Amino acid sequence: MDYFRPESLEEALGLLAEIPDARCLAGGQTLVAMMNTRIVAPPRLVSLRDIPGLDQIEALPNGGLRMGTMVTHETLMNLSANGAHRLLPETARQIASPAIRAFGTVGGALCHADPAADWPTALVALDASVHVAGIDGKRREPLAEFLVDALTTTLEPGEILTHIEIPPPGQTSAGAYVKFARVEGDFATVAVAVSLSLSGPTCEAIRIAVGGCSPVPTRDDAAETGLVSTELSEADMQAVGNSLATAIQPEDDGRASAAYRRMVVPGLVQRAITLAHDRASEARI
Amino acid sequence: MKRTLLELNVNGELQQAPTRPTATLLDVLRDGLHLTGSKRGCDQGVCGACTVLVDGRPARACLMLAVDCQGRRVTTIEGLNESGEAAAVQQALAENGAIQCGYCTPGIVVALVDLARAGGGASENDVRRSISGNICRCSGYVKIVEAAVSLLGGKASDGR
Ligand SMILES: Cc1cc2nc3c(=O)[nH]c(=O)nc-3n(C[C@H](O)[C@H](O)[C@H](O)COP(=O)(O)OP(=O)(O)OC[C@H]3O[C@@H](n4cnc5c(N)ncnc54)[C@H](O)[C@@H]3O)c2cc1C
Ligand code: FES
Ligand code: FES
Repeated sequence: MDYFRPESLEEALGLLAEIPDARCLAGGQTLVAMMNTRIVAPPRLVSLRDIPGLDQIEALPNGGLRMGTMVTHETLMNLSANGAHRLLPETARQIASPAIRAFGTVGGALCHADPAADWPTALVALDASVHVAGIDGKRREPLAEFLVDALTTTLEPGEILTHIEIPPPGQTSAGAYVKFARVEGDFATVAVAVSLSLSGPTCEAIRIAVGGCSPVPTRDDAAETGLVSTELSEADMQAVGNSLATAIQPEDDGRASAAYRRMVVPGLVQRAITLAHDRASEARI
Repeated sequence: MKRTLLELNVNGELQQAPTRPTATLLDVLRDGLHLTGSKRGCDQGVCGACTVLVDGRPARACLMLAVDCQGRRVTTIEGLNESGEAAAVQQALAENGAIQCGYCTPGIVVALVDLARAGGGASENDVRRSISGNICRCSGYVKIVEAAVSLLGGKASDGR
């Protein structure tokens, strides 16, 4: 294996293009664990950590956020954010433990696309999009399309995820990330991320993503639309929780059975919406 | 596999070690530099026995590629021993009966030194969160938490 630490994106793309199975190295918190068990043996690693700007978070003029792929979980845990963007620190502090948060990156988590990981779920709820660079140019796509299947994204060999962009939070907005795991710091058995905004007492917009239960985070467009202009009553929340429990495609695994996951989804959805609703209502007063 | 000579800043000194390209920081510390205070429990980032500081942040030595640590400052339990920074934590653990087989202890000490560096005292929750990535098979954690709270306690619960 050879190893490079280029100082520009162009150089990195060139190095990746030279060898078919070359890989990016971000925080290594997943990749090195896989190398240690010999699940993967990349012929070349291209470390992204000296490429300028990739570890920066930038506030956009429209109120949105743009963060580089190398931003760590720890940095996001300490981010001071507004409204629904507070979903970012709330999610980050529920990931793994301090040492892994200090080096694991948000972009590495999205590229690995583990169905039980936290960022895919939280960032789909925030309607994030991703910027990808390749030797032939750049593209931008919604995160929900970037995530294709378990451990599979639209990344072609040699491409680099460079930035993640989040639209501005709504006027009176809030988010909530509710993670249900066997112990603190474990991967999610089920996780629910909610981002909503209120207009007076009624729901103006809402996105709900369920993680840990399907190859990619699950949303239910129709159920979300059904919540708009309601006051998010208990019956409304139950209805959306039940429809999400039907929409997921859970499997039995070491963390829980599929049936168990279907059983806990409605309660967690209700808990997450209630939290976000309460937070947004407080912001309104 | 071909070996290359790696230069790493460990405990304030530049050290050279011949290394396989795929070696982790833990491999180089233990086998190359004979700094065996950092323990190997899992090689998967799960147990925390290998915890060191990299650029001042707690890190899994088993999940850092050694080549990727060039240009970074690595501090191991041996370094914290020599500087005296680990002494207070070690004493608190010893006095509270928090050390049994001791395999997890170096990692726990590094994690708690990181917590102590943050300053401002720590609640029981802060302590539990700071060592949440460190597995101890002997103690049941209660004595470790008591030791850390006796040393760093004083802050009201942070609510989490
Ligand atoms: C013990 C343990 C517990 C964990 N618990 C959780 C948890 O509770 N929740 C959770 O969400 N995660 C958890 N993780 C995973 C952790 O968050 C990882 O940090 C993260 O999934 C991967 O990020 P990384 O920066 O370490 O990526 P790396 O390991 O460096 O890379 C991962 C993969 O993505 C590719 N890649 C990385 N960056 C790019 C890029 N910019 N462009 C193209 N390809 C790229 C790499 O080539 C590699 O294939 C845990 C990990 C461990 C070891
Ligand atoms: S050996 Fe590194 S975490 Fe277990
Ligand atoms: S004292 Fe034995 S593992 Fe902790």
